[in-house]
Amino acid sequence: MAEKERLKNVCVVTSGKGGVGKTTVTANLGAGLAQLGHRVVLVDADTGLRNLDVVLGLENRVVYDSVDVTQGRCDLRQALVRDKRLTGLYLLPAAQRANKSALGPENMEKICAALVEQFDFVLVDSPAGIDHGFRTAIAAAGEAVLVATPDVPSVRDADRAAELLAVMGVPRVRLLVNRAREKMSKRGELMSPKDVAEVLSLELLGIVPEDERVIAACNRGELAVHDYSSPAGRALRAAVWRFLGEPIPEDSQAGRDGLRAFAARLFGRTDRAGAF
Amino acid sequence: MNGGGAEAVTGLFRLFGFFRTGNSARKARERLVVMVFSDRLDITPRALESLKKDMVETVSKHLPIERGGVNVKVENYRDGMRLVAVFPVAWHRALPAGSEKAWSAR
Repeated sequence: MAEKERLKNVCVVTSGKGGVGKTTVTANLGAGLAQLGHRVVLVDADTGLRNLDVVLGLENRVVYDSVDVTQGRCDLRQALVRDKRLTGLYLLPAAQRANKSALGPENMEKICAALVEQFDFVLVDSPAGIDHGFRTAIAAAGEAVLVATPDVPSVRDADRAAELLAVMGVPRVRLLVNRAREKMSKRGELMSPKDVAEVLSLELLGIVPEDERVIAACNRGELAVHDYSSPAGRALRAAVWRFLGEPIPEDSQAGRDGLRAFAARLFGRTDRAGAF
Repeated sequence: MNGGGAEAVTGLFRLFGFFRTGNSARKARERLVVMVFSDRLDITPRALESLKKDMVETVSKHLPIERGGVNVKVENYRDGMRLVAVFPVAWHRALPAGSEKAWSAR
């Protein structure tokens, strides 16, 4: 099973445990890459519980989905939804009213093989769990971003997912620690991202601090990566650069806002120029 | 410092032992390392306990050890996990200086 063809520019975003921010991370990484001029397509692999369209604010533009493509009701190009903001960003929605078995690993391989011809990066948003949907999502992936929050259940499940990724032959797995809280870690009340990376023995792609602005952005169907006064947005932009291989150092200030950001918010300025 | 007042209050509570704070992260990490070990190698904590028992039996056949002080744990290293077992030897005087490694079996 491990010898199947894996596509270099197909990256699966997965976690094991649900609710740690996979979909949000997928959307933001994709948008960050597209912002830098890459052509990116996001594939929602969560058949039956589609969410990526909502996080992107594209739920009203969905016409067809990946199951329609595999069952021949439309062609791949028709099913793609273009982002409202970035010209290089597209979404392949999941089917909302279909059985999970409607999309299998072979279908995913076919879809990804067609998409890498047209796009620089294909990001696949995996469903929670490690069963059929997970196996489908990772079928073609040449690399993986594993999302974990710094709590015990999430890290344990991430370890199971990491093991399966290794068994299934995904050659590269990088860790993104989501909802980090620097102050709590300093008090010794929360594992630090470094702890998490060490327990899992994985390379760190990014550390995204807990940030209410992510929720607010999601409410509006917008993305934190576009928000220059959001600490999480800033961390996500750094993760995008690292994803591309740039050695961006971990910003120890990433979790804090500081007086300047406070002042910026007070006076309604949201254009605080970050380093990225 | 932000929220200094609240911190002073929790510090006061801590002084009286209302909250046991400050090392829950370490506890989390320790628990995780054990869980990850048992998940990866498919061995339960109970099986590990039984392994410890067997090791104590075996070692005490050859050396006088303090059974109560035996500690078997899993540690995570860069190159993988290690099972680390510590058996205190029941001997109450220190070895002569410079002989720390004299008793290693290779």
